[in-house]
Amino acid sequence: MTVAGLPEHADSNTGYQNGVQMKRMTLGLLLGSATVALLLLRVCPAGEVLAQDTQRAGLVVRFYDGSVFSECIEFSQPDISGCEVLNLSSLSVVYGGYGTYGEAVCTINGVGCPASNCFCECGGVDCEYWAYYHLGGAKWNYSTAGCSSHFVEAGDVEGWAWGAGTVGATSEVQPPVMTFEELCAPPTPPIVDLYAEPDNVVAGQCSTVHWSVENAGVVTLNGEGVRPTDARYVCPQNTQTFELRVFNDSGEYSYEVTVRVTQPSPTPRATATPTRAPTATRQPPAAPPPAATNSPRAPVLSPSPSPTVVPSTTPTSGATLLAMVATPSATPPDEEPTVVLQGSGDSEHPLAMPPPSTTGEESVGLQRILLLLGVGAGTVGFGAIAFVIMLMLLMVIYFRARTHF
Amino acid sequence: MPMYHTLTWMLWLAAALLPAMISRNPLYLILLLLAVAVAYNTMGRLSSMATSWSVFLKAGLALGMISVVFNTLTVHYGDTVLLTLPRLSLRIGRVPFLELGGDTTMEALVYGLTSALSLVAILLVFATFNVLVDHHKVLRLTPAFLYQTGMIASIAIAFVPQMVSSLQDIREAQAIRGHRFRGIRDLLPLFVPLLTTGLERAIQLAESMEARGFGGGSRGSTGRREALHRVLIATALFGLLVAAFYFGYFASTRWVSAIIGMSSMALLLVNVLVMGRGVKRSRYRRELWRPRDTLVTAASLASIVVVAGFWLLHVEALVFYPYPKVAVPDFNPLIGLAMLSAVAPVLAAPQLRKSVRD
Repeated sequence: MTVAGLPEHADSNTGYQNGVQMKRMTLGLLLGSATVALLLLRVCPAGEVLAQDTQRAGLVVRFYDGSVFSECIEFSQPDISGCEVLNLSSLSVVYGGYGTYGEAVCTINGVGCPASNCFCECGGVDCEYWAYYHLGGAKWNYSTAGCSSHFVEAGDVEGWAWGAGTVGATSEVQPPVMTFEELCAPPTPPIVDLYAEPDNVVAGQCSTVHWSVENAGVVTLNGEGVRPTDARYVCPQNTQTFELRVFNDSGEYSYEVTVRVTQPSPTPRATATPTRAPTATRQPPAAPPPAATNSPRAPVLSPSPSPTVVPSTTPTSGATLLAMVATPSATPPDEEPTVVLQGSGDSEHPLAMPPPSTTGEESVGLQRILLLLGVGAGTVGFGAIAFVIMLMLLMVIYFRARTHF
Repeated sequence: MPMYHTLTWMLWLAAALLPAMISRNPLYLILLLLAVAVAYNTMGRLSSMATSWSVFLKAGLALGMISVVFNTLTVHYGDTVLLTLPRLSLRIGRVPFLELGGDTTMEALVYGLTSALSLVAILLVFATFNVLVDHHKVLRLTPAFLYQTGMIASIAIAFVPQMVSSLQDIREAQAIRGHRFRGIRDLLPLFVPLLTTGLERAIQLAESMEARGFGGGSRGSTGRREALHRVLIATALFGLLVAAFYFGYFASTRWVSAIIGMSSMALLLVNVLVMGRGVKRSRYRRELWRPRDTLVTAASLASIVVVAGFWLLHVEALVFYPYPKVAVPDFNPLIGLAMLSAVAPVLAAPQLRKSVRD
C-alpha cells in the first residue's frame, strides 16, 4: 500500500499473516472453550423444570440455645440452591449479599447478625456464624461453599448451626444428625386397638372400654384427652357409642365402639368402625390404611374398607420442632403453622435481632455523630438539598475557573 | 512555575483516595468524581501528560461496565426483581462456576453501579494526580532513608503515563508511514514497537540507576553491617505480620498484637533511620511553601479527619449497602464537604484569586 508517496509498508503482509494467525488462534480458543463449556454446562431454562415431580430434601437447624428445628422441604425443580431450601422452609432468613461471591446467611428466625455486618460475631478464632453443612452418610460435612453456591437434590439433608465454628473445618457446634428418612418419611398412620368388654350389657351393668394406640400424637375419647393406652369403666343406661380420635403427623383418625344396653334378651354384637371425619384437608402421600389389630377378645374392632385419614394440623412440608411441646388442634387448613422456639424469645436471646427498622437506629446513630461533630442535621430531606447545593457549587466553581486557567 | 508544593499534592491525593476506597455511597462518590474532574479540567488540561487522563477515564468506564454487567447477571439476591432471564448454570458436580440469568434484581444492579463508581473514582484520582504532579518531585520528596522505596514508587507511578506517551508517539510514527488502524489485526505494528520501547527504557533505567550508584550501599557501610540491617528489617516485618495475624484471630487479647506491632514498627523505623544516615542528598532547587499550600493542606487534612473519623466511629455513614432492598442512600453534609475538598487547589489557585480581587 502506498499513501502520499510514502514507501509501501514493508511489514503489512507479515502483519496480515499474523492477523490471520491470531484470528485462527482466537477461533480455536473459542471452539475449545465452547466444547469444555458444553461438557460442563447444564442449561436449566426457567419453566421447563416446573413440570417435574415433587422432590424432597431435609433441613435441620440448630439454634444458639440448642433447640433444633427440622423440616422436610418439597420442591418441584430437579435441584435448588441451599438458600432456596431455607426460603421454602417456615423459617425467616436474612441474607447478606457478597457481590459475585453469592449470599451469606446472617439471621435465621431473628438469631444472628444484621445483613450489613453479616459476620458481626467473628473475630478470628472466636467466630460465631451460621455454619453450613451437608449430611454425608452419618456425619455432617462442613460446606466449602455458601448456600447460593451449593445445589440440593432430592434426598439431601441440609444443616445449619449457629455457634463457634472454624472456617474450613468442622464446626464445634453441629446440628444433630437426622437422616432424610427420619425427616421426610411418609407419615405413619396410627395402629389402633379399641374394644369394649363386655360390649353388651343389661341395663344397670357396667362395661370397660379399652384402647391402645401406636404412633399416636394426641388421643381423645368423646372429645376428652386421654392417654394412648388406657381403659375406662362405663355404666351406660342406654346404648352408647364411644368415639376415639387420634391425631398424629399423618392426619386425624376416628374410631368408634358401641356398648349396647338391653333388657334381658339376646343382644347384637358391638362394632368399632373408623368413619370419615368431616374436616379432610389432604391425603398424605401413600398412606396405608390404619392397621386395626384384631384382638382375640370378642367383640373386635372392625375397620371399614376406607379408613379416614384426615390431617388437620399438618403443615404442607411437615415442620416439626424438637424440644417443643406439640399441641395439635383443629386449626383451619389455610392457617400458617405456628412454630415456637423454646427458650429463644426475641427479647431475651443474646443474639436476637431487633425487628428491622426502616428509619432506624442508623439515622439515630448518625444524628448522634453529627451532634458530636456540631452539625445538627441528618435527615434525608436536608441531605438531598445539601447534595444538590454541593453539585451546583461544583458547577459554579468549574464555569468560573475554566476561563482563568 | 509549579502551582503547589508536592507535599500539598500528596496530601490532596490521600484526601481524595481515602473516601474513594472506603465509601460505596454513590452520592459521595459522584461528588468526589465531579470535584476531581473540575480539578483536571481547570488545572490539568494544559499539562503535557493531559492525554493520559482520558485513557484512565476510558479504562475506568470499561472496567465499570464489566462490573455492572457481571454483577447484574450473576447475583440473584435482592427483593426488587426487575426481570427473570433463562437460567444458565455452569457447574462441576454441585458447585456452580457461573450462574447466569435467573432473577435479575435492582439491588444487584445498584451494587454493580456503586462498585463501578468506586473503581472509576480511584482511577481518576490517580489520573488527575499524575497529570498535575511531576513525579520526579515526588521522588525528591521521599525521606533519605526511604530513597529506594521512593525510587520504586516513582517508577511505578510514571509507568502508565510514559506508556501512553510512547503509544501516542508510535501511533503517529506508524501513521506517517501509511499505517491505518482499522481493526484488531492492525494493532500488531503498534504493540511490537511498544514492547521493544518499554524493554529499552527499562534497560536504560537500570543502567542509569547503576551508573548513579543505586543500591551500592551507603557511605561507611560494611558487608556485615548491611547483612545485620537486612536481618533486622526482616525481623521487624515478620513482627508486623505476626501482629496483624494476632489482631485478626485473637480478638480478646488484642493488646498483645498492639505490643508486637508497635515494637516491630519501632525496630523498622530505627533501622531505616540508621541506614538512611549515610545517604547524603543535595538539592539544586528547593520547592517553595506558599500560603496557598497551607490552605489546600488544611482542606485536605480536614477531609481526612472527617472521613477517617466516620470510618472509625460510624462506618455505616460511609457504606451504602443496597441488599436486601434498595433504598435512597443517606447523605451527610459534613462528608459531602469533605468530598468537595478535592476542588480546593482550584479555589486557592492564584489565577482564580486574582480574578476575584479584580
